[in-house]
Amino acid sequence: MSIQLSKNTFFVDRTVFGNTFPELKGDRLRIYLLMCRVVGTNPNGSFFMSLDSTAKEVNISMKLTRNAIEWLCRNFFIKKVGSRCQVNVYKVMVVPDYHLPTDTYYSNEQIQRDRVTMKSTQNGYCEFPIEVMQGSILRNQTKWTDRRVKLLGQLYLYHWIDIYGGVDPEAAHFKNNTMHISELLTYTLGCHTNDIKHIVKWLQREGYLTRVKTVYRENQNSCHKELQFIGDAIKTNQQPGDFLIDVIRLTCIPDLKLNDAQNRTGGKLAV
Amino acid sequence: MKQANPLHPPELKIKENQAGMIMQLIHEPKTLERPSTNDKLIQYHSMMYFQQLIMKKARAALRAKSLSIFKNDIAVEIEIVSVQSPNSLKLELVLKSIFDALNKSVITDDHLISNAQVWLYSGQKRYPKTKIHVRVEDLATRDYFHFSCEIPAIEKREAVTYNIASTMHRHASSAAEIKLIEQAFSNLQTGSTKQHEICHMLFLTSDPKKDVDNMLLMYIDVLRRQGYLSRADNIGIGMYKRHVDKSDERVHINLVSK
Repeated sequence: MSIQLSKNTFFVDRTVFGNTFPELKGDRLRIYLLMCRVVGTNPNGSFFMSLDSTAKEVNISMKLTRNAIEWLCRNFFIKKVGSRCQVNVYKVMVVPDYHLPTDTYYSNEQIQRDRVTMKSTQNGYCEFPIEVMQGSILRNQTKWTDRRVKLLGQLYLYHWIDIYGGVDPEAAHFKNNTMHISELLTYTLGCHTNDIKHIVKWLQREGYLTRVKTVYRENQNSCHKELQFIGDAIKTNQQPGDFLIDVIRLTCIPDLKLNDAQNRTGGKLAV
Repeated sequence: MKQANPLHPPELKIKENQAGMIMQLIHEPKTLERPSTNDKLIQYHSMMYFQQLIMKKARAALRAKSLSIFKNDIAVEIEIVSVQSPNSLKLELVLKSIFDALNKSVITDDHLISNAQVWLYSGQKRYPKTKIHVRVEDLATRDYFHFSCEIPAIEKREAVTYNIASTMHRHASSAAEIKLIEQAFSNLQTGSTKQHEICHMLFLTSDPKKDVDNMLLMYIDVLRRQGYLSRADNIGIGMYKRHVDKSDERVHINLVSK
């Protein structure tokens, strides 16, 4: 399986892929992700796309598109910041705080939506290559159910190719003919482990991820004696005591991340 | 009052009665310091995500009551309802990751937390999902908010180094302090073999900046190793700090059975 390297990335608040916002679904989720992608590559950080082209991009009617945008505005996910040539301009905000018992959203407009501010305020995000959020994933809700979109999002959340060679094995990894799936993943996706395993297999068939044998070694110099990813099995000399872990590797990754991984391991990734 | 020599074990008094055990360590309460490294650090992502999810819940609960971020002394109460057995969970570490989620998002600083409790209740097999309830109270204004979520209890884990085979050491003075406390216990020949399930610690300190959870971490594993606190069945921990003059600094430990 070949790896597709991407030069352009954008970020999405991590809570979008969990169960923090039960109503952020269907059309709303697709349009929100589209907006994140567009503002991520737009130098002035705004979404400037006509209703018509927005509707075409996510493959839903103008009416439903308008409804979804209205919902996102009303609940402080995005904000209308003006209009140009009869086209509304929106910005994406840090996701609101949602109080489930009273079904109320509280705006986080006061928190600047940039990587540094978000990190320092515990608003972690995941970084996506723009190529991932194009085509059928936004356009085909029968093929790409919300759960599939959210699981792919969470796999990106745990995907640190430099530190783990792929997805953090504690979150998910292959184990002989089956998989290990963390409790946190099943809770935040609101489904059974088996559902997640099926989707991972489906994503594998669709070419979004691949399975890689990697070598992990205990760090003798650390008081934690943690296991560290040191390279892909086919490019690494193994020692007694090493662990072989079958990690999940996503196939479309930012080129900078792969550089980091090769630097950290001394070029021991076979891609 | 005579001052304790920092190189000698602190004076320790133990009283046992029907209800449990009372201990007194006569010294300045210590805090556990993180291991150190010169390398870049990496955090555990599951833990960071857990903290973010808790932070979102906490902020929503605070704002739903139109309260602003807490600035006075604070009490935090955590209840974990789970089918998980107590021996697979260190309650103080779950508390610590929840404290980190609250810190700066709903309370200005976690050293303001002066009372905290964490309890583990066994859930029903019929409904096996773990639930966490958190209640936060401003002790000066008596304002409070609370929230619940269905989420696995995730323990705080210390960051590890980024680079392969890079070095990380335990904090030397913390390690030395632990040894001294351990010594204070081994010097004492108590006949008790009874293990307790619930532990409360009161820290009388002159330094308001000391975090109550970091002080607790200094002592709790010693109590487990010495056999006073059950490892397999620890279902409740309370921690409290009070401001005193330097000469009155103490640690009071109260062990109770369920």
